[in-house]
Amino acid sequence: MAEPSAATLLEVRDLSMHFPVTSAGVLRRVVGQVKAVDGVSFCVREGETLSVVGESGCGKTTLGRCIMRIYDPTAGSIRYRTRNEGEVVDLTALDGRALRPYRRDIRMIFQDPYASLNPRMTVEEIVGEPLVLAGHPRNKALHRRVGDLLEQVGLRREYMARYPHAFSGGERQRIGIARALSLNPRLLVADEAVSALDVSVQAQTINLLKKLQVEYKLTYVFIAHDLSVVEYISDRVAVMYVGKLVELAPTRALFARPAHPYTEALLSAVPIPDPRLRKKVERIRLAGEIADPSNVPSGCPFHTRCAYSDGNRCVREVPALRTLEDDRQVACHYAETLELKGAPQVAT
Amino acid sequence: MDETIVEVRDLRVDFPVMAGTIEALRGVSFLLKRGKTTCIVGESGSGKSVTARSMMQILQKPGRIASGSIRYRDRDGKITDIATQPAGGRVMRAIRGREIGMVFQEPMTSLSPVHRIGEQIMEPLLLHFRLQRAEARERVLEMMARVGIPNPVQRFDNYPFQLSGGLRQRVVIAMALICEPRLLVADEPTTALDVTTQANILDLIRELQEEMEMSVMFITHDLGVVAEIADDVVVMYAGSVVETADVDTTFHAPEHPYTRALLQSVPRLSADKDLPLAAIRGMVPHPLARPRGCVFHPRCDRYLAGTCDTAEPATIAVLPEHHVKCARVGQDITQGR
Amino acid sequence: MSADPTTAASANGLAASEPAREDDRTLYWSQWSLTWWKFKQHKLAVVSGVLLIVFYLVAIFAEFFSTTDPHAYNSRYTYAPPQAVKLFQSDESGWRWRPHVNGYAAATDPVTLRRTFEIDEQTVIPIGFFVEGPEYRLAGLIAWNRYILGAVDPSDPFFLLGSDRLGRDVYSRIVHGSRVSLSIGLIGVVMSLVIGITFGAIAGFYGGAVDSVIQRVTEFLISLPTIPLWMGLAAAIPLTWDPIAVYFLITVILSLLGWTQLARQIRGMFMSIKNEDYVMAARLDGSGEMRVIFRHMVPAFTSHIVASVTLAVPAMILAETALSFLGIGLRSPVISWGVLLQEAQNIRTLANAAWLLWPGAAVIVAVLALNFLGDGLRDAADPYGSN
Repeated sequence: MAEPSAATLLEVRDLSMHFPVTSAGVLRRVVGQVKAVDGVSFCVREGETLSVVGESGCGKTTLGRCIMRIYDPTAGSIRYRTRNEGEVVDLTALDGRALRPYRRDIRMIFQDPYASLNPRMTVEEIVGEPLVLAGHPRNKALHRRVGDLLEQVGLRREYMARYPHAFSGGERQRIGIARALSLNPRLLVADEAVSALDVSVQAQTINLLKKLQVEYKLTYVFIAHDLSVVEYISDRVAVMYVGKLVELAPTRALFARPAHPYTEALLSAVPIPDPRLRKKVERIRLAGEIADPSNVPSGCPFHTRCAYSDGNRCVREVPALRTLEDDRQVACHYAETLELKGAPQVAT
Repeated sequence: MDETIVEVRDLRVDFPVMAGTIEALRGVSFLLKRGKTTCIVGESGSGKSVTARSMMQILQKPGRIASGSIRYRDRDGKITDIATQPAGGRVMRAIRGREIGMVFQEPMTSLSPVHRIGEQIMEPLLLHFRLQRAEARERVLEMMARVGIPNPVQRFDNYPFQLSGGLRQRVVIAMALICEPRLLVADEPTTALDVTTQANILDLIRELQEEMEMSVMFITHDLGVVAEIADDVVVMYAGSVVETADVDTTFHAPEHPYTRALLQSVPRLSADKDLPLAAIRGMVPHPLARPRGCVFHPRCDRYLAGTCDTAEPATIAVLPEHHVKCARVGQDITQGR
Repeated sequence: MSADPTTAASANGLAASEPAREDDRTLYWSQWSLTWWKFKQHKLAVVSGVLLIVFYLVAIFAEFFSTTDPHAYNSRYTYAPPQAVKLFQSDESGWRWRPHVNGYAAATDPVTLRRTFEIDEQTVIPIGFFVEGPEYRLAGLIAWNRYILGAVDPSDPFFLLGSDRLGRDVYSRIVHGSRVSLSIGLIGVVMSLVIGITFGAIAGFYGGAVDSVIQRVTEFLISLPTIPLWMGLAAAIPLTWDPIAVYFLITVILSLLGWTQLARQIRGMFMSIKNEDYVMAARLDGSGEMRVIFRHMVPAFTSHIVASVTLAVPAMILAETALSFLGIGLRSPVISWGVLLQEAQNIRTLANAAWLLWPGAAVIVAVLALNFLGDGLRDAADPYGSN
């Protein structure tokens, strides 16, 4: 588990990703902005698992893709501490060839195990591709390396001659993990990496990710919507709502005593696999739907659904992300005064 | 004793494909009780969706019911065997929508993109009852309000693309419930939704069920949802029912090794994070290459060579309403543990 | 029988599961093996494919597969009806293996003064396989004089499918016509394909303003009414030009108008595949643009392109036939199915010499076969698709 003093591996500062909304027709005038990610700042510490949670449309996938530089963020910086002692680069300032060495350090695991593997390539080609592109000669050593990687993720060496169609969803996800591992990365961005899997296979995959983290000293940015999985796997959790970070806290603290009303509502909505708690637990139900990121409400973006909104300051003033005691950050005017409920406790 | 509304007995559904026959359901039996919610829970390939579709005779091609019965008891106590009814026949048309309503996982696939949602909700009403349009419209507006669609009068003329995912699912539920069916079959109705929306939809189904004294057959893979909503639980694996029990027994005193393993593999809030999750080893078997004997035996902790891999285990009643399909549980009982 | 490798995805709800058996060789099949496997399931497409191979072989070696020179005319036998081939002949010693046809008995209609022919059971014209006839150059290259089937004495009348206005052999003309008609489709489609892939790929890959411009041009071309445009362009070809040059120009005209649909399809495929996770993964692995396009994107839709092309060929064939039929495409002495049909354009032909419509049958069979083949290829192109 990461100490609070652990070195920062990646620092995201005031990151924004605004997509232009264009009018239909030939001229395509820009008529608005979808603020998918809007002024997000946080640090990822070496060796930790930082989860990013939120409802669909909250910008968590866009955030991950900005870190991967699949998108060019419209503002802000992503500062990455390289393997060279003391060197920090801003990934948003780099392009093409200059970005390549860091693409080997920061790798991605995709959500859909069916779409993320090229159906026309063998497993050996898929897992070996990053190595070949990084200059590894196509020789026996490559073959051995791919075999080792497959064994690392719990697949048989002989499977490398097969094509992806010969594998189940869980096995494909392992192949995707092997591909991500092939270049000895430092940071893995996992975008909903286990949500498409069956319960029993999901547990295997989570265990594998935890095992690999220890073995390779990996750092994870784990983007997910399933809070039970997040609680199990992460050291710290970042909660997003309509493109903004509303709370960031160590997992245990966040689940026990959330500081933002939205976090409280999210935790309260998680179904608990224990029928005996059904009647006992009081639930908070959010009215309405997540706000439209192209038309974000004034003030606190959550005030339209918040039970604690004062109807005044919350409507007018955007709450800044403030640091509270014990390593927590929250964007709510009333974080100190609200008494919010944590996740219901399950007897184990 | 609760009144039974549907009795499924030894249902077998085959999908003949080029390489052979996929036995999607291999002798499935369970009961649905009046006014209760029964959850069918299982992983992909377990046959839970096929079971739901069989209830309505809307199996996808080339699927067909090979044998077994689905005995439905209607308002007057008359029993119809749905399994023997032709899919396009008069009886099924009268049952669908009127007696049994259905909600699917992805609301957009059950809504027509080119018709106003009000008209779509009205459709089953006009089909099953001789109603004036004005009267039908009143009932639609009432139902829209009941399922929590804000401003029903304005929303009546909306098209599905103008609604969010949660509202669309409410429209689909309104459509399924407009004729006040006695049974609602819901196939993963909240899987595509966010957790906060899911909580609202589960509340809605629960409230409507109590109000309308309706039975619900709820298909899901999420054990959390099961714990939230079920009265009774049917656990399926690879085309068979492995365990049926009431919800408390399922979660607190399960007998089948698969049910136990499944419950342990779910990450729980506030569980010990330093222990690895109790994952079930291996994969769900391919439907064309299921193992001999008990389908679960290659992944089972209590596997006993010579017993589990030879003959398919019988389903035994551990308690009057707790059935388990496991040879080892059978042994335990006969040995009077 | 090996397990169906596509069943894992075929039956809904049974998707994510372990493949059938560890030793199953389908586990090691590549995309192409799967496509071929799926194609073989489509019996009609396989039959059509075989039929088309035969058609194209006949077209290439038309001289050999005809019964005589298609240009040779015989004023004695105009509008002669088809002769039935008989394999045995009876004489005093019984039935004997002797392939032959019966000759014609000419008569003059007393009212119309038109010459008509009856089959004369008495005259026997012996025919045989690999008979010698007028010399020709096989496929325009090799000098030879053998015909697959023909009258033993080349001066005897032998009209398998009857003769036309000038007493030319309809069968031989159909065989020779296939050369032009079937190739114009292929060449035209290849040209359309080159234009279509270029523009489609540019539009789909770069998107934005480039895409907009290309899209508008395509829409403009699609909106033009084809027949008048063909007529205009074809009328512009000088009558004095060499038939080969006309043939080439017609092909160009057809393909200049025919690339639009292909371009749209390819644009769509680029658009959808561009955002596939595995293409994104390839970029993150460090692939350059060209490698992404040619290693990861193009293979994903080559099979679709093959299918689209197969489905585009019959349209070209029909276009040529239509143009020639209207008298604005190819003209005699070039032989194509359209030119042949043009000669069958009047009511008299229909009434008295229905056999002149046989080229129409050839068009129908070729077009249907290409369509079935295209269907089969399209289904096979996506072996993971639903059944």
